[in-house]
Amino acid sequence: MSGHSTGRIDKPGFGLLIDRTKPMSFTFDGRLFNGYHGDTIASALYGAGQVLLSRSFKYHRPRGALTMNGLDANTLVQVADEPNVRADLHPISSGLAVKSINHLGSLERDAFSVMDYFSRFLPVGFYYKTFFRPAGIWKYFERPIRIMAGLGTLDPRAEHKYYDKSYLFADVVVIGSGPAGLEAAIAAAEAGADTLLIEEMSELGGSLLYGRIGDSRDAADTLRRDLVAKARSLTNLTILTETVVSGLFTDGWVAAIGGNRLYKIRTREAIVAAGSFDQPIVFRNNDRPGILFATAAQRLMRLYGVRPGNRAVIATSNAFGYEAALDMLDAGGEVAAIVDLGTTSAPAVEAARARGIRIVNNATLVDAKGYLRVESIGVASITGHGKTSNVTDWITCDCVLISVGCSPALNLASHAGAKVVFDEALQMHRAVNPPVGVSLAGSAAGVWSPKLVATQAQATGAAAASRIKGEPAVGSPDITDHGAAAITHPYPIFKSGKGKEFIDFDEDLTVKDIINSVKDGYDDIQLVKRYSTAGLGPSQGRHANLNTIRVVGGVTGKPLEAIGTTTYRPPLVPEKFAHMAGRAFEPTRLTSMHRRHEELGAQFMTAGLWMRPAYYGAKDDAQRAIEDEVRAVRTAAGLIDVSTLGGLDVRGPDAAAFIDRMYTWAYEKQPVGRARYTLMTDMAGVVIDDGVACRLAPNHYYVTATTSGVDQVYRAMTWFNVQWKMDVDVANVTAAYSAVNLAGPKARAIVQSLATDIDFSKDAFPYMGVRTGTLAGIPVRILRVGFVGEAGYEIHCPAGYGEALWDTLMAAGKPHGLKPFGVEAQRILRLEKGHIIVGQDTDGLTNPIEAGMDWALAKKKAFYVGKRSIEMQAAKGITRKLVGFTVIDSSAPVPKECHLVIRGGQIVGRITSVVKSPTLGKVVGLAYLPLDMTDVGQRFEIRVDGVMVSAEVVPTPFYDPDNARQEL
Amino acid sequence: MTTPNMTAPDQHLRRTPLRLALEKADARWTALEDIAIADGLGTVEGARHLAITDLSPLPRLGFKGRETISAMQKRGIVLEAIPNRAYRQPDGGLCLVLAASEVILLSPLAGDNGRLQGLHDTWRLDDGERTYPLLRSDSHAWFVVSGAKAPEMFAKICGVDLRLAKFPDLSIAQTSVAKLSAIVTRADIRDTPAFHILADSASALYFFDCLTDAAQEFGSTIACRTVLRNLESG
Repeated sequence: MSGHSTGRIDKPGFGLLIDRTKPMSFTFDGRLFNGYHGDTIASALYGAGQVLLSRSFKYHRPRGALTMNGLDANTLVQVADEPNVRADLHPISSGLAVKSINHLGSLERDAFSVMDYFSRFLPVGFYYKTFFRPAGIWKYFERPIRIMAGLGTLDPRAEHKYYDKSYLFADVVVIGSGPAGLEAAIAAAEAGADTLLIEEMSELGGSLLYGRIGDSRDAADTLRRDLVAKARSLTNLTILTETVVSGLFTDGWVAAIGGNRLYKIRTREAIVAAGSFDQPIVFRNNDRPGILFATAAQRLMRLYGVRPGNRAVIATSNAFGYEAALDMLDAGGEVAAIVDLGTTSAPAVEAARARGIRIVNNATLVDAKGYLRVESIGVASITGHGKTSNVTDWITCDCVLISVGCSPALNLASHAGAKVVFDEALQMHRAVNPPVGVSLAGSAAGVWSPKLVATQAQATGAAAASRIKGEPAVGSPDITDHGAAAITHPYPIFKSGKGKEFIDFDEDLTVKDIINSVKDGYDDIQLVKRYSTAGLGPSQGRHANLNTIRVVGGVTGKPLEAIGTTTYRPPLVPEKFAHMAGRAFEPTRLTSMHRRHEELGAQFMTAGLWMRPAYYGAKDDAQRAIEDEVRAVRTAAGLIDVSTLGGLDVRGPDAAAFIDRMYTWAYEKQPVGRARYTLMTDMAGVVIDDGVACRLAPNHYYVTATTSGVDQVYRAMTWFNVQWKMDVDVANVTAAYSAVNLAGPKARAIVQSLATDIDFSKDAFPYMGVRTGTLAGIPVRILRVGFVGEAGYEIHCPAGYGEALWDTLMAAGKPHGLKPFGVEAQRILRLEKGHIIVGQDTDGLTNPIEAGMDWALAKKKAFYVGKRSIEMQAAKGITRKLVGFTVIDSSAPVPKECHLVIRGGQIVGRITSVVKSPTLGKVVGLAYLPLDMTDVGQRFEIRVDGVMVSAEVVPTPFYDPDNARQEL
Repeated sequence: MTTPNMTAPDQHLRRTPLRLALEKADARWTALEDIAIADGLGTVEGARHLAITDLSPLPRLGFKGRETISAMQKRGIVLEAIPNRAYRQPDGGLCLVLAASEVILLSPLAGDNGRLQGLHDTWRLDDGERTYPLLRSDSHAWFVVSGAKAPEMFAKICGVDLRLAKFPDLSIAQTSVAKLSAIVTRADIRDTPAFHILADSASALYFFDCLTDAAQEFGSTIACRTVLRNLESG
């Protein structure tokens, strides 16, 4: 029956959001549909007669639009690679490809709809009771269940899209731009507050966009125009449309989503004016397409110019239903009857009666006929609480408009900490004790009468502004709207005894399911929710919770206020992971020479945030490239960018004493112009960093630290400096200096070929010497250190000169066979020399004695950080020691770092560094071994990928044990 | 190919960390002391709307230590011991007071004729002043984000409220921008809002990418010192 009885309304006052001069086409399940710019998918489909939009989650029943406000699961569709798009919010665009979801075969002829006939085999909580016996049976059920269940489809090939985040700031944030939101925002702004008004729709006005005041549409429209004009005239009132607040948190932190952006809003005052959620009548077949909320019908008509049908039945218990009936007539439709669950009294009632509409009082809907769309509706008299007579009348219709009550939108206030209680007088929930900085306005606050809404919202806005200014509020926002008691029917639930009366459309839960949940022993509302899944679907119980609570109350005999509510949790609306991820910010640090490395074909590796050349050459020729680099350093010269090394300037009268306390060795008597190895331990005596301390002046040390350790070292230094109150200043100058290590037997010749004021002769500039001056016009600090075991110069210069320094040295070194080398070659070179790398050859518990660094511990100093702990450990005795080793059988597989040392089937040690040395032609490495295995010559077994490999303890350094080469 | 007024970055020993990005933007280069500075980018109108300019080649110098404020005052720098406040200098430069013990001095747009280098060179450790110079020209890249749209752009990458009414001229925020530690100083150029950002020079290319990405939706441009000087001269 879909495909008839709806159409566009060609009258003024209808179709506010669409531009009829801009038609556009799109497809739904491959069929071409037409709509207008401004249409949503659902409105355009409805306008073209396609009322059927989806199939339900469990029983695959046909479903159509329910709210036209993105609040239900019925309108979920797939748009290209994006699943679970809300068709009643998503705009159409030319060429848009939309697909319906959750069916086998066509939407109209869903083979899975057979499930509807097997519902007796799918009782509430069936998934807790089935599919697990006999053992192993689940795997046979899993695949068909996964095929049948679920909604949209994720496409792993979906293109990445651009999402980002933005901060916003306001004194007052008003959420929702209905009459209450507009009034509150205007009042706050007029009181001087910097105000932000957030609205989900593209137009401001909320219910004023489609509703009436009294029986007058003009009054609502005029009020909207006036309020919007006033709001837009205020310079301190910022308006954000097409943005929805998804969470309200402590400290005025408001999360909002607008398109592909997540707004992180900071406010001092938040006013929730988010309106309310319609509540359905529960009766047999109350889910048929064409049965929708009266406000949904009004939205269709007023916003999109689409009449929901030709012949409507309105079921209501308040004036809003009558107002919708008037709209239906104004739109050119027919109203077959208004079924009033009571005897509503309002101007709209008189207007409806005056226009000849049939009104049936004290009656309700009890059944619906039609499958793909409602065709007629059964009406019966109400005979008691949830009880009716037999059907008194079958009324032919093609749409049914429901308005039997509302539930204030309290989710956001609850996120922020307000308590939600049931108000017996209003038959609605309300928020009490909202936290400071959170208030509610309009129907969210239980105020519905237009005049009272204006008064209450204005007072709320003004009060928020007053609190910000620290002034007493003028006027109280605490207003009770006694008229609101006439809005929500206390029990619009009419169980027929056969068929399905749906409470939760998302999860296909019926009255019987809720009753059986309680009967199964789950009588607390939180347990009912979890057992039955009521409120767990995409609409998060907006239209199900109140009726669920009513049914639970009925079965348990408890008053509704005693039943409580389930917990409102953010997000209020669907948030994509992309929204939370946003645009990734991942800082990357490049040395000043980075471009040169790229030009030389470097393969990069990360070191913290830094990018460092691992080696220079093709990836498929890495081994050869690395060995060439090692060979160049050993035989001629190599140049490595060590700008990532940490650098700290320690200056002041107490500089030497400070360094002496920070590091384990002795520094106070260190001569100016000399560098000395530094080893830093923490208070527990654990090795945390190393480097060298260069004494540039009596009161000035330039200290290097490891790339990854410098921030920790700087933190420790500044922290201790505060504790010790020494007369010293510590500055982290890592980024200020670039550095290279020029190493190899030709290094001296290379630097001596450049213009310089530094004497590079061996005697004038010995090993571990430090000099400052200029090299080829570049200001430099040069350290003669030997990490790679060759004569070399670590040349530091202000970072701005780094690239020029690299260029200069590469050019000067060319005749000498200079090659750039990367971190991989450096690792080999240093290991050949037996040097440790803190963090690789040490771990979070390593003390210097275990690491064989006891030579770097000053015995006579009274204090250094960690000294007492190290002495205690020394007294207690260590259990392991880092030793050098070599693999005995040259044809054996090469161990890897972290491979285990095995003795008698037990793990007794591990490899920390290992390499097949191109210089030595054998495998060398460092390993932690138990003390009784550390003597030179002792053999041990390493488990290498399941194979045991024999190794032998050997002395270090492996290369140039007399240290002659580095001191050349 | 260079004209007499033009140069190439490689012809100078010092180089801006943003060289690669500015070359991609088709910058021309002019000499400034021992460094080349980008030119030929942007317009005054663009700078008034939203533009990003690299001022990294201009001199800047930091001082840190417990007697820094008095030491600076002795040197004729205009400042007070009010943290997170900037002070315009008689030559058009800026003094950023980051803490009671730390300042950064920024050159005027026209350059400072070696004044900051002179301050650095005349400082003597042996004098015993408890203030110590820091090579901020090397440690920190210097960006200017100018124009009326700047606060809106910053809202995408910085959690501090930098709206003009909330973050007045000569305010300083030491904060995180695009997950990078940054010193943000508002120092308007005549009537155009201008935010001077000092951030890790090693991360300059990353940061520039973040800025241009965030600014793109507002129709931003990349500008140069000449444009800011034109803005300054009205």
